[in-house]
Amino acid sequence: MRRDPHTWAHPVLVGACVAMVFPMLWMLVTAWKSPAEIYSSGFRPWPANPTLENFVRVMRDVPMGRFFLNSLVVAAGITLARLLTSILAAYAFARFAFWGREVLFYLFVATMLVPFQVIMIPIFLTITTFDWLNTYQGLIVPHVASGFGVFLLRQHFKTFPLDFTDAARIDGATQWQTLWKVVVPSNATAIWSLAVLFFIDAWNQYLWPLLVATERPMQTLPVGIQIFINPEGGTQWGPLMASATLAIVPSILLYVFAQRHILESAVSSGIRG
Amino acid sequence: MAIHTSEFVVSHQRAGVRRGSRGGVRAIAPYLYILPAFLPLVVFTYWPLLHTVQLSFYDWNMVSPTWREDFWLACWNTVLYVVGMLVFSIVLPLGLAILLARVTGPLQTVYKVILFSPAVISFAVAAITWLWIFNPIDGVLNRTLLGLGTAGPAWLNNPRWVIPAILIISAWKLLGYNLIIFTAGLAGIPGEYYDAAKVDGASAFQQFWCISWPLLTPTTFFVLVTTVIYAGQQTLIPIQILTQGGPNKASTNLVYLIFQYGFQFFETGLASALATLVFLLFTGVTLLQQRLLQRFVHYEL
Repeated sequence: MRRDPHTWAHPVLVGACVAMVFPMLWMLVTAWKSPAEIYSSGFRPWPANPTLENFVRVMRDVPMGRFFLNSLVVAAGITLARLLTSILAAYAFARFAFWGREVLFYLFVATMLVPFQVIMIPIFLTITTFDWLNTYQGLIVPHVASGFGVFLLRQHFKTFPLDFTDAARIDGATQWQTLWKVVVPSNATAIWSLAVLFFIDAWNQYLWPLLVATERPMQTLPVGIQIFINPEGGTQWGPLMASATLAIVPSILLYVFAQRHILESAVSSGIRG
Repeated sequence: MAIHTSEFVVSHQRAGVRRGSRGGVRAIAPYLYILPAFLPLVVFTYWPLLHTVQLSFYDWNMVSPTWREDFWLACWNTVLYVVGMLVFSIVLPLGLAILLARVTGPLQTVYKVILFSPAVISFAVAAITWLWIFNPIDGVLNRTLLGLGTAGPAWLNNPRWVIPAILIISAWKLLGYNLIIFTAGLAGIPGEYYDAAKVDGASAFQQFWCISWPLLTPTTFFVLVTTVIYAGQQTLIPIQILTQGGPNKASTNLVYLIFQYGFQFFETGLASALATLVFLLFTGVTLLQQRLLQRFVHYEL
């Protein structure tokens, strides 16, 4: 008789889960350890005497609140702007006939092929010309539109039954009213999923804030917490892990509450990190 | 409920426009809806792309003496990153996806959620936690190896181990994403095929090799391209945080060179030429995938 594959599927999967979670768990554990325990030669998978010392030092040594605020303003700004621009453009592509529609739509979709690393130098030059270094607009404005957002919402708006919008139009609603009172509420799930995706993406951004926010008070979390790293040795591991833990709390919380949305939209080409 | 296609409404409206009663406002309305998204994409994607190509032809006169050496090393390392990443990010996620397909009920979701979790956290923060794990003396990895009786290498400070170490971090970050793509692909294969194979007495391996693998080809192609692009481009983040291309340039690659020449050496022309090359290279890969997909893929039996 052949062995049931279930017997070994579970151990392997559990092992993989442990491997995936371990780095995050280790960060969390280190954050609660005292410096003495971090550098002692023993290996204990949990803190002997959990201490808040590292978190206290993080709050004292760097403007953590300010980093949080910056990350929040930037992520929320990018999310809202991207949603708005995507909804409007997607609606036009799904429901209007106009000259150049196909070509314009391909131009939107093609932006997904252009990696940010390729165009960051000219964008940086543009932002410098605008005198937007170390400003919120410098951090937000280059990211206010998303070819992916337009693409995804157009799919949803196109498959939305026309009976509903026709009914609204017959009742005398304008295109604008139909969009906001019928189409958007009916596609709330798709829009919400996209919002979560946009927010996590913006919250996690590193490269652009690194270039634009050179002054400490304008830095976002992933950039700001790097101060605890000292390449010549003497990195302060406790505070570094404590600040890293604080930085991922919002992403993890969002993931816990919206994991179904995230997993589903990741399949339709979403976050890759 | 009757679902019309949107083509219906389109022809409807086209007729309306032609009749042209209130044609003026109607005709420009769609463009007004598109403008808020179009304008930023022009200013922050298309114009920079043209500008990059344009800048490539300027400022080549102050080329540093090490440039040629840097470039070829970066090319070679990019190949190492891409090939290494393909091994990690195709084999592991596919294997796990096949196991996951055998699990039913809520446990499958639990596994999926946990395995995907590294994908939602910032790559920059993830790199920081791995910096600690890979620490040669106090890091948990080398402590464990020491406990097992062997001394681990200095990982990120060792020219031989630095690329494998960055690959481990990147593979860890990307695994969950590729896993759910493969899982979705496997779920799309009709169960009857397997039932028929079982009736014919096919082994688990034969079922994989003769049913799953060929029918997964479109998914595999997609994962392949995602992984190549990820290995080529996203590795810039861990390289910048963990090694700055070191030790002694051992971990540099093409995208990191763009960053270094553009923002540290201020050789804009050279960096832009590199950026143009990277763009052509990776767009080429994507387009090639599209072509191969059309030619070789078994969509349906």
